[in-house]
Amino acid sequence: MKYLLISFLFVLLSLNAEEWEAMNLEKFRKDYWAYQPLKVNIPDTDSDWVKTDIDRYILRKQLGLSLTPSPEAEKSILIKRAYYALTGLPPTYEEVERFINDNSPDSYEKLIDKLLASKSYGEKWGRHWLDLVRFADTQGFLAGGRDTTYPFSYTFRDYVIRSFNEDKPYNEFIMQHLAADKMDLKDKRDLAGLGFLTTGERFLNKKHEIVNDQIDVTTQAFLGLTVSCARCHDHKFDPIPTADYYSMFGIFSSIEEPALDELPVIGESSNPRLYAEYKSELEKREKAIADAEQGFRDKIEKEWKLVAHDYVTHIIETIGGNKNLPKIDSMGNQFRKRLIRDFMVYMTRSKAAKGPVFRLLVSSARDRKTFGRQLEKELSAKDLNPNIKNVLTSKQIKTYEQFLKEFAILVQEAAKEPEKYPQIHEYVYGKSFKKILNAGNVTRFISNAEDKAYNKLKNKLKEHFRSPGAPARAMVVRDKASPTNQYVFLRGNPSGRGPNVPRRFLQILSTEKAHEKFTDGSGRLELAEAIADKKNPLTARVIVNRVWQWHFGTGIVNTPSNFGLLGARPTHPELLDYLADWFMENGWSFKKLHKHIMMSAVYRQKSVNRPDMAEIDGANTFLWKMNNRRVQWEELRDSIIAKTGQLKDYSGPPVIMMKDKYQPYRTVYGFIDRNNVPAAYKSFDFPSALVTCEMRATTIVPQQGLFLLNSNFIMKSSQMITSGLKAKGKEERIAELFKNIYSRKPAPEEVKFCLDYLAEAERTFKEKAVPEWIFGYATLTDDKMLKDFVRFKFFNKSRWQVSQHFPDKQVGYAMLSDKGGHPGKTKAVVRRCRIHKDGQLSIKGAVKHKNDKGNGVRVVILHNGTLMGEWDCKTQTISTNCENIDVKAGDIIDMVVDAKSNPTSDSFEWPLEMQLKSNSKVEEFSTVDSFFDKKTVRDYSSWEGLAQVLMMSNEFLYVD
Amino acid sequence: MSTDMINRRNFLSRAGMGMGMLGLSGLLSAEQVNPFQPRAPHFRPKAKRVIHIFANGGASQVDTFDPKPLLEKYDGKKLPIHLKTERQTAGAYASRFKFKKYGESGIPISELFSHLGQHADELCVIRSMHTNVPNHEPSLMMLNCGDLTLPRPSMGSWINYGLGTENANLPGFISMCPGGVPIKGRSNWRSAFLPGIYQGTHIDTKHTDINKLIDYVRNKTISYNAQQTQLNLLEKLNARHLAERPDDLKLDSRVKSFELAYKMQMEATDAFDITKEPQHIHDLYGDTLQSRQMLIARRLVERGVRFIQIYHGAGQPWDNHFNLDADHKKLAGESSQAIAGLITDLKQRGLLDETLIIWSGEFGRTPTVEVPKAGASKKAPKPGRDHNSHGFSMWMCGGGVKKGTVYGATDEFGFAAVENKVHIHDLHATILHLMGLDHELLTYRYSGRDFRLTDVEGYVVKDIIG
Repeated sequence: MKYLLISFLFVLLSLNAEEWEAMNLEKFRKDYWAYQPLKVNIPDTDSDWVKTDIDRYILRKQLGLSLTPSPEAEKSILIKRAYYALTGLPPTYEEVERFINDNSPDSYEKLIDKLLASKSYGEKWGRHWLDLVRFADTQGFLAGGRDTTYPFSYTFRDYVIRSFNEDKPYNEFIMQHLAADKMDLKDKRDLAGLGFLTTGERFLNKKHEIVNDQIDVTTQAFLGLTVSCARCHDHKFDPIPTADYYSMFGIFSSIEEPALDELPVIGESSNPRLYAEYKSELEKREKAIADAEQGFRDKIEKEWKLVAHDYVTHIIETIGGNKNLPKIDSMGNQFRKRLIRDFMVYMTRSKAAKGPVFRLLVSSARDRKTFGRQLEKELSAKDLNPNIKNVLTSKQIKTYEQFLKEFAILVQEAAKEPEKYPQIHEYVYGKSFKKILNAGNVTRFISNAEDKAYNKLKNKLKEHFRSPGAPARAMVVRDKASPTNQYVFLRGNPSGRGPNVPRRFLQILSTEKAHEKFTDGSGRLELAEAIADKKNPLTARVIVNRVWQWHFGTGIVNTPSNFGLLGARPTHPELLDYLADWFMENGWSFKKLHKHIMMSAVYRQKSVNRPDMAEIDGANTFLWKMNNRRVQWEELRDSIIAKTGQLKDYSGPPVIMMKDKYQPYRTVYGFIDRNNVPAAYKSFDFPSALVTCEMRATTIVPQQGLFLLNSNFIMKSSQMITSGLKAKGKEERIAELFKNIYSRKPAPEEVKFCLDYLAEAERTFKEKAVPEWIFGYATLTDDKMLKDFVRFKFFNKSRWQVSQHFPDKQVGYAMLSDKGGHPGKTKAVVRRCRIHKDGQLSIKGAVKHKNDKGNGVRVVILHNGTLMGEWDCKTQTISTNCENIDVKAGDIIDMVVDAKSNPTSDSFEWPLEMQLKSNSKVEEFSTVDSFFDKKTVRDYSSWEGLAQVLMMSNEFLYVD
Repeated sequence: MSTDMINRRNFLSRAGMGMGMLGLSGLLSAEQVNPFQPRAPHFRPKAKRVIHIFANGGASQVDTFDPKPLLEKYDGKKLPIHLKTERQTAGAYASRFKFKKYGESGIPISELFSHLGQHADELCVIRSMHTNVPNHEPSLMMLNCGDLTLPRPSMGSWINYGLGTENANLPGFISMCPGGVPIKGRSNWRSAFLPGIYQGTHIDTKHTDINKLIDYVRNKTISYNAQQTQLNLLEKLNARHLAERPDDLKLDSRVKSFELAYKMQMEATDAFDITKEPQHIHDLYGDTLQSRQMLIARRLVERGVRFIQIYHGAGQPWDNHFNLDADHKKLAGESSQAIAGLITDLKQRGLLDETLIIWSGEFGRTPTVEVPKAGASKKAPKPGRDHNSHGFSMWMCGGGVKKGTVYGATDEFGFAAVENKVHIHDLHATILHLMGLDHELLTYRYSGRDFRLTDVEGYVVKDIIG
């Protein structure tokens, strides 16, 4: 077998391009499995194990290899498997119990139906799809700090989720991805399907790369073909000539994207007040841009009067082939390149070129030797321009250079005295110039520096489309007014022009007759129809294989985005054909396909290893057991939130996840910056979103452990779970935690493990990792005792203060910020630190007081009330070091600042570095860093620690 | 199946091929291994680790490692040659920095990097580097990822994919950049289609707090002892779970990964804590931000981190279109002693031989002076140089390179590489070679074909290998 294939490869490699096209397309269609029509022939293999036709195919293969299938898994495993498979969430204890106790023969089927009907289904399967179509909410890197966020990418994400939930037929789904704007849509929200083409990376807006990405994702995702390999040469292995790549290139380069405010609105703002605000602000920002554009027009028009003659000279010199032209006009500004180009076209290629003003100048611009002849002709012309005539004769012009110089002067004069030079004025400064200026967006003329200010306005407008009142819009594309075919770029190089190829479908997937040119605009709709055609041998095979892979962990073809020669061969080709056929016969319905697969015996198998089988088929290629799997990132995060009972429904603009705020929404709704994916996502194998992802990696790395051990997210979740516990006794509480997190009761041995843990934690959870800080005020007595300590109640942006009013009526200006603060009228301000472990503490730093109006401040450091140091400070900086204080866990260090009975002008800075040595280990912290730390979970109990452990365990992280 | 067979034949036909590599891609997808586990190279490596010091923005060759006395003759005058660069330049601008020959090799180094003089006999200076375009973004991508525009994995990702790590308690690829990120941001250390875990871990070395350096590395609430209590329970629960699912490697690996994470908390904290270094070491490196970065790099190298990249700063600090003399002096002043200190320190510890140090920018600068933009500012700016992709200098040190060598040359003005030209692809091939990897064999199957760092290009520059 393998030698056959290798020789096949060699045959192919030795062919020239013509032979390739002539012979191999036919040969491939005949010989290569993936291009052949589906063949369905259900085997009659049977046994007690068999539940559906799928099982017959599986069993037949196994029999041939002396393998035997595994029995059905326990109900507790089946329900968890089905939940994660269809919703990405775990079942609750009650749901598991109900299912186990439901003895009706169709209990499992009812379960599947229920899960398929839940909204969570679309959220889970939508995410699979988003991986495949390299979805993200940003366009990748842009220079100059420009905003890279897509304001409406979420409408594509919500479209995908909704489409799965509505069980939209797959063929329709494909069509909407490529050509929703050309279809008769029942629901206008389906326009958002075009986000498939517009939510990819933008490669610094390099058009060729954007088109390449569109070709790549279209052919890989829908067809399992790597057409982008044919960009520079015919595909090395598959029957895809370069011409096919450029046929598709023509399609995608014949589309354009409307501006943001032209994108079709597909949803309403739910809040009329916000919507009104949005509208009025939108008008303002749009007007600012229009004003700026008008400003550019006015500026350029004004400039033109001063420099048009420079441009004319520049243009003529350029035509003459002069390479060393100045970059700067006579006013000291850079020439506007686009203006040179556009005016050159007007001067030399429009009707004006033959007119009396430019005729002589242009006619010998390329070849100046012809000037004499042209001059003669001109002098005898009926419509000779009087000003030019005057110059020609009065200055006795002989050479072209002379004439050019004089012409430039005429142009200059015409600006100053139009009435004397009416015709020249009209030609250079008149309607035609305004037409050039107003022909398109004026920004094409502006310089980089001007562009920056303009970009800021554009950014502001773009941001506004993300404001809360903004209605949802679909990120659509539309066909260009005149779609064009593409020249082949020889060796992928745009400057190497090959043959012009029509826009049409891939040759290998078209029969000779059907291989027609696309004529409907860009050809997207025809492309979509060709892909979604029942006769296309790849589309259905590719998608059923993906679904199979997402269920079993491996595909029937284990290179799901490459069905070409270098891809894997199907392990069960007949089953693949059967499923593809079944899928189409059942209306391209994903929900039906899921159910069909999940009802099979092969799906319902146990996942436990069997050494005798593993010896024959260690990779489980022939599915003698179910594959267990680690939950993926979204499933992990969502499951943890689900266990807190706080999971909330969502759809709409993306939410920033894993930053400061606890966001109780499913991860699929999170903001994805394709260039900056959060650390937790990355360590749990979230794909890069730069390219299509057919199957996620599942690595095991310590960073995952760090997240589960240390993140605020898991600790806060554990706190929420534990705070909901109702049971009182230890054992009852353990059981309640198990039911909540594992959806089952604990075994007696597990209860004992947990009790042992609690006993040990009794001691270890008392230790803290870092000191604890509180901020307040108190009276500092003359003998340096602190009395009546009160915590600050109010945090105002950057400082702690006594009450909402500042200064406080009684206490005055008392406040503390990260670096310093201000004492109160009679009260000292106090930074109080509770030391977390035994050791030797050193405090280093200096107090700084600036204002000489009052009498300065007194600062004091106390250890458990004992004076460690005392300093007076006025308009100076004094170091306040205290070294090697022996401390025990729980000791209190107070850092006190007092106004010395005169609280006038007593602002101070007092940042301190603290070092705690214990057992030769050194820990450092500072008053500044500790101040802002409001995120850290405090007072974490051993019970919360227990809930956390359960969520770190393999039982929680794996699905059998 | 068939493709596996073809690959296997290819692989096995190469002598000395380690078994580790063989099963890598298969194993990764099968979720069986810690992808960081060390793997055997293709042949005996000269270097085990890389420190890439990135003069991002592009340092000027004629002011650092490529003296061009002829420029003095032409100073202020038009050069007889002119090549296209990003912006307009005018006459020649001779270096204002003095060069001196150092060591037995007599390698000339300008006063900007005088500290490196003491290590001249360790250096291998390549003066004939060239790349494709004189723009930052594509050139950064070329140097880091081997392609101007397409989303390809970075060199550090490739090397970690090829070799794994010697210390699973730390990330295998660390990119340090103080104060933010370079131009093109995180694309510079992306893994693209390689598994995400090979992506570089970005460390903002402006911070000294370890919590800001590595995500989730510390629990600020409970103590290590309390975590040990948690792990004791976790181990028992997992053991029970595993007993019902015997012979499951991945479940077993998961158990171990928590032990690693627990240790990583301490090890990572330790690795970045340069306060533990004695005073004489601090004195050796100096006390700039670059000194901090170099010293951290040494601590990471000691701990077996495979690939370390050190950017001078956010954005493109070396991009001195104007005021080059003062700015280059400042930048070199910040890094010269620090880099020399790093070399000395590694040498003293016997680590230099197995550590490859690379110093380079994404391109060089013109020998001609850049023309200021009209009307940009009232005061005429001080002279500077434009980007230059036609020729530039870099150097390597340690890690099996030929010591005390100058390789290749630019034309007499330092504009374009003319002799023994080395393209970035060749540099990549050579670096991989020094690491014991054959750049044509280090492949990853994606999107229907085997990808390489060097794509279809790259020649190992044998002459600079010691």
